[in-house]
Amino acid sequence: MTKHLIPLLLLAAAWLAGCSALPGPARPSTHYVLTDPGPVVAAAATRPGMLLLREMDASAFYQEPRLAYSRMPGTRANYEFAYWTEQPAKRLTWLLRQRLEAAAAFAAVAPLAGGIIGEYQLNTRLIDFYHDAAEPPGMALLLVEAELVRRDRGTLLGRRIFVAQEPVPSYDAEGAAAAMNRAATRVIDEIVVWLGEVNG
Amino acid sequence: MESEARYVRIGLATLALIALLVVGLVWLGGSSDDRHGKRYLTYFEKQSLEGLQINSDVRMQGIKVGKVVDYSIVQGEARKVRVLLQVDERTPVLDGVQAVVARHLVTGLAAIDLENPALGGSPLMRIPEGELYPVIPEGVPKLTQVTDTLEEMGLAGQEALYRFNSLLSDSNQAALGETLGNLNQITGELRQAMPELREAVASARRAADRVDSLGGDASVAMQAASDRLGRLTDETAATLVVARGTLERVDREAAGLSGQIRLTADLAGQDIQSTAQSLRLAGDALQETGRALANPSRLLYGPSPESLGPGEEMR
Repeated sequence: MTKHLIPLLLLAAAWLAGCSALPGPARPSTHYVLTDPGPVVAAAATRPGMLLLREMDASAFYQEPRLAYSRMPGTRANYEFAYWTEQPAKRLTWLLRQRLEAAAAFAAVAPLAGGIIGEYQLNTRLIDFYHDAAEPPGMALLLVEAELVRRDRGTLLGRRIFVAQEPVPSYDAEGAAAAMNRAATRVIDEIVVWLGEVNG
Repeated sequence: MESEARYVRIGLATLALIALLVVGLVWLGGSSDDRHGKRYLTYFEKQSLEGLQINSDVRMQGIKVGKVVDYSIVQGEARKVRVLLQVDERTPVLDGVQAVVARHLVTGLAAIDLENPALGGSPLMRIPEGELYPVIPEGVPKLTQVTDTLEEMGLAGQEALYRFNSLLSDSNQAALGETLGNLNQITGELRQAMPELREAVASARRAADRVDSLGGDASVAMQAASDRLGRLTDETAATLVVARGTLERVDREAAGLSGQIRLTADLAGQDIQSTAQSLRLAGDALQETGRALANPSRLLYGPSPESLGPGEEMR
């Protein structure tokens, strides 16, 4: 019995020593909701036909649901304790669809691969979406590329890159999230207007 | 003094006689026929007015109804005579009336007969422009009509005699003789050829009978062929109707199939796009995860202070 007890005590002491070497519990993370505060800008005219909206493409960096920032030009990093509730590209796609339906830019809007045939397709790509923190409190920057395709003819009707810069009110993740929401609203506004102007 | 009274009586008597004379003249003038008749004008151009005088009779239906009041030759037209008639007011002078000169064969005295139209009519009231009275047109006397008819008959008879003479000219007589000769020759030849003609007619009749019988057979054959052709046409029409229905059905089904294929292809294309995008994103995410796993110390010990974002700090 004693012969078996000693190794067990030694193993428990080692395990406790290892655990004590790990850091204590980290600070809690905050999850922000990317929103479109509006107001809704109505389209100049409703284009007849169904628009299919493909999910926004994004690089691997932006597939992580964390707020991004940059302290030096040409670099990107993620906040350690600030998260989006959803990947920003997916969330922006959903916000854009809601806005297009509210603005009545097309007769109907549906997601791609939803079992619906449409005459038009909108492809988007999230190029950049971060807190430029080089100079505190910094700016929120959003770049989205959009292209409108006529599906029944297989033609590209138009392509454009939309840029929005919004000042960050406070030099932290909370301020960055607020500014990024406003930037998202501006870009969505401009996309709706642009879709009404594209010929075809 | 006595002589002066006698002069007065003589003067009064003279005045009374003059007044009586004037009254008589007036009475005579007022009782004349001029005051009781209508006046008419007539112009004679074709008939002779020989024996016509002032006060010559104007008659209608053989009864005196008026008189000739005046006549004169129209200036510039030597053959035209203007005659003024006065007709009793009770005499109906109708529109369409004609005036003809009638002359007594023994005495040579002329009168004017007024001949109303047989069917009657309205009274002659219209006064032509430039005239004072209604104008009665000149008629044609019956004797003149008879004369004209006889003259025309004479002319026609003369023409007929001339033509008959022409027909019986020497050349026509020779031609007629020649024609008769030819006719005689033809008749003779016809008589000789009569048996052959009879035979030919009989042959023609026999041929017609044969053709008739052949025609009957041909008619039956044609009827049968027509019936078969009709049946064939009906069957062909029915077949065409069925074929058309089949083709339309095939066309509709092909159209539906085409639409279905297009729909399926479109939806499949959308799925392929979406799947490819998801695969691409998943690959990127795997790469990122692999990169994170390459630094296990961060997993074990948490972020380093250098990696904290703006406003972030370690506890």
